[in-house]
Amino acid sequence: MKDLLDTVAKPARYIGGELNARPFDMGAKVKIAMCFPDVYEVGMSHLGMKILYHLVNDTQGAACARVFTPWPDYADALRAAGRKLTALEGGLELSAFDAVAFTLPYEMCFTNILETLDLGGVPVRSDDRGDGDPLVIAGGVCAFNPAPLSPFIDAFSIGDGEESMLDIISAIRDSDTRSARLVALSRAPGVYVPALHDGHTIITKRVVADLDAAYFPSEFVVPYLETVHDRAVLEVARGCTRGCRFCQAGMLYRPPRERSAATLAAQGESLIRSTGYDELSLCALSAGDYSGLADLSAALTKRLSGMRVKLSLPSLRVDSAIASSMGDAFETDVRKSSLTFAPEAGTQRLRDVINKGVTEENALRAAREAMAAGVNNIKLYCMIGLPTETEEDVAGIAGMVRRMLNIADTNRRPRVSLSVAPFVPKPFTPFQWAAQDTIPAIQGKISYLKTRMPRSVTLHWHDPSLSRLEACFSRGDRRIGGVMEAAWRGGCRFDGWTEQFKPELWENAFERTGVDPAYYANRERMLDEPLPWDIIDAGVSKEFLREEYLRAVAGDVTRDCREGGCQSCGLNAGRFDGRCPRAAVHSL
Amino acid sequence: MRLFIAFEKSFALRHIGHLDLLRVTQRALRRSGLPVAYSQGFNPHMLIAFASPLPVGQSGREELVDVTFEGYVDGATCLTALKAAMPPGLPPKLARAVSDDHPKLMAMLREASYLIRADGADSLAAAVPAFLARKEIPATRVSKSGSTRVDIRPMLRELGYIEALSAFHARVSFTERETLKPDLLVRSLAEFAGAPEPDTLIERVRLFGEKQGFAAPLMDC
Repeated sequence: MKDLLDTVAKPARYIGGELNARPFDMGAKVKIAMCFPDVYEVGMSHLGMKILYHLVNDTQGAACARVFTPWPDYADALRAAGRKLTALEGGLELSAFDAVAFTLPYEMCFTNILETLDLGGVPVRSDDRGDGDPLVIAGGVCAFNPAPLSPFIDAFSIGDGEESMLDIISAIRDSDTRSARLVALSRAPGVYVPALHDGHTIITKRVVADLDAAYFPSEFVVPYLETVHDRAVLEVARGCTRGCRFCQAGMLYRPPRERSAATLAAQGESLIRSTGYDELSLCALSAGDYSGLADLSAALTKRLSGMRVKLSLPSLRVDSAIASSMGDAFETDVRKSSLTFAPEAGTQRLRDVINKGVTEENALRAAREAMAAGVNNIKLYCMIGLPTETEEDVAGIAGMVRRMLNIADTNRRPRVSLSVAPFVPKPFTPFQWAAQDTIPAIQGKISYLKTRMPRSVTLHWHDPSLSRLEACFSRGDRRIGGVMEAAWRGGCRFDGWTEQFKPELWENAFERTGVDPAYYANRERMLDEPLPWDIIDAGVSKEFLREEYLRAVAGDVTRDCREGGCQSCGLNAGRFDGRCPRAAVHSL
Repeated sequence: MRLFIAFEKSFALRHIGHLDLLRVTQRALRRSGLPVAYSQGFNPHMLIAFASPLPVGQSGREELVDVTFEGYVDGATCLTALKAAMPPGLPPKLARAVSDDHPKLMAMLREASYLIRADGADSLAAAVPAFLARKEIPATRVSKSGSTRVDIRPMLRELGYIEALSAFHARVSFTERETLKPDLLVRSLAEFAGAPEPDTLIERVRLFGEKQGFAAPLMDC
């Protein structure tokens, strides 16, 4: 009588059929399962997933279906019933696709890749796949260090996916056997095929030089369930050159490119009309830096007037004074009324070390202005365990929070909450050589911070054992892949979800595989040590990163190249005719 | 002006909850380009009201929503625009204009009819005549605040078994004071027949109001 779906939580995650979902073309020559290694509500909020889903379906001869990792209750029910995971469109099992493609947005979803493959009937290890099995492809931020996942992934797509995806489709369409397809993929620019790689050829990341010409869907699939980001999104820019030394995205997505206000306004109108969303947000690593904001605001106002659309700006930087200029153009969401700052460190000295170009004065001024405009909640984000950090820097966080509480002239006090995340060193950042603090050291700093924090402040902190695991994955090699497989076989999945994270099973997996997590997380790398990701050319040169690391330790700041001139990060060396493709912001 | 709109919540979408359905409907109305009216005030919202939330797990053949528009919108135009705007599993069926002072759907609601598929329905079916012949049917209603004994016989208008569908058809009272939920009905029937409580799949077929003292489809009231 009852279906499996009648027995699990939130069955709407697994039914598909949403507004604007594409019918699946069973006759397509190239069938791709686009997988997100986390639950539906998270994956449906991911812009890259939306872009690639529509792009593949708009490509002649190709069909794309969506797959999200089933929550443990449904995964267990599928296994107990002896059934395989099927895609949301078309109802095919994963094993029936030509390619199963994963986006890799963060390290803590890695075990979900194995879980998804296994549930879909695809052997988890590349070596165990044969001619009848799909190619397993991965791209996204975490593909830049492919080593930990290379036992499981047949081909990595490095860099922007819009053009690369078309090459991948061609490679699959034009060959028939698994081995011929792998050879074709290995010849595509920006694609790394571990099984066919000689160990030293450099794979250069793909860059979409002109964002205006790049593919962008005119519609989004509109979920039934409320997702994490349930709104229309415009990608106003890609890349950031502020040069924060801990920030991987800031290095990987260079050069900064902008979409023109005219293109964005047309895309925004099309999305609002096709989805019925009442909220439009602007997305970029630093949306406040978008140079065409005034033009875009005017153009959107004209196109969307009377449609009751709220415009929201995420990831506002402390020194972006944009909110006020947008304020009267659209309905602003009064219920949210909170301001988010990420000063990242508690003292100016340490903010100089990490090259976070904001001062406490900036932050306090912006908070004061926001309070005057009616904002009551202030959210602060800081990291602990950054390179060169001292007790004074940790105490500095508490000091900054105290001053934030007392900013208002009147006796009105803002409600302040502080989130503290342990620093995780990432590949292709100046801190890629740095050590992460040990778990006891982080715990000690959090306790110390707690004793100095005013009681009215809400303090959140990330689990240090989760951050250590993230550090192991981010700078890991193939051996970490072995640990990961052992942990997954032991029952680990959805590690990024606090209630699912099982640190003792991970400890167990490290012990059984004889791998020491401290070797990956807590060890400072020698500057001349070969790194697992040396085979990838992410644009910025190793020399620049090394130089930046040394400047960091010395406390020297490096300016944003958009203001201070080219800082020779290496991105344009031998590319783009020696000049970064600067954004063309056309006037309307 | 106001329109009553009837739509189907298909079997495939039985897992969509009421709040999700509300959001989907609002978005569809926005997509349709129809001039939906909004409330005044600090936090304006669309003037739409459903006759009755459908529980998660149930589908509905004729669910009703009352939408207020700015200015005149005729039913046919509304239906065409909404058909293009609603997702595939929620097809709009009918639209009917009502006057601004027409009673609200929820206030007119009296009864609901259901199609109930149940495991072992054919063996339970034999017990229906005796079940209906009882003067009182005591049942235990379980809620968060505990369980209470109620007599469900007065709330049961009609109960029959449709062999071709292997399903029960039931019409029960559905008012603020007296509502008989179909799962409680099935549980009572199973208890009466001495059978274990069966798994069910429930479809709400139609909502009823009252016209000249008789039950009439709510859409026509």
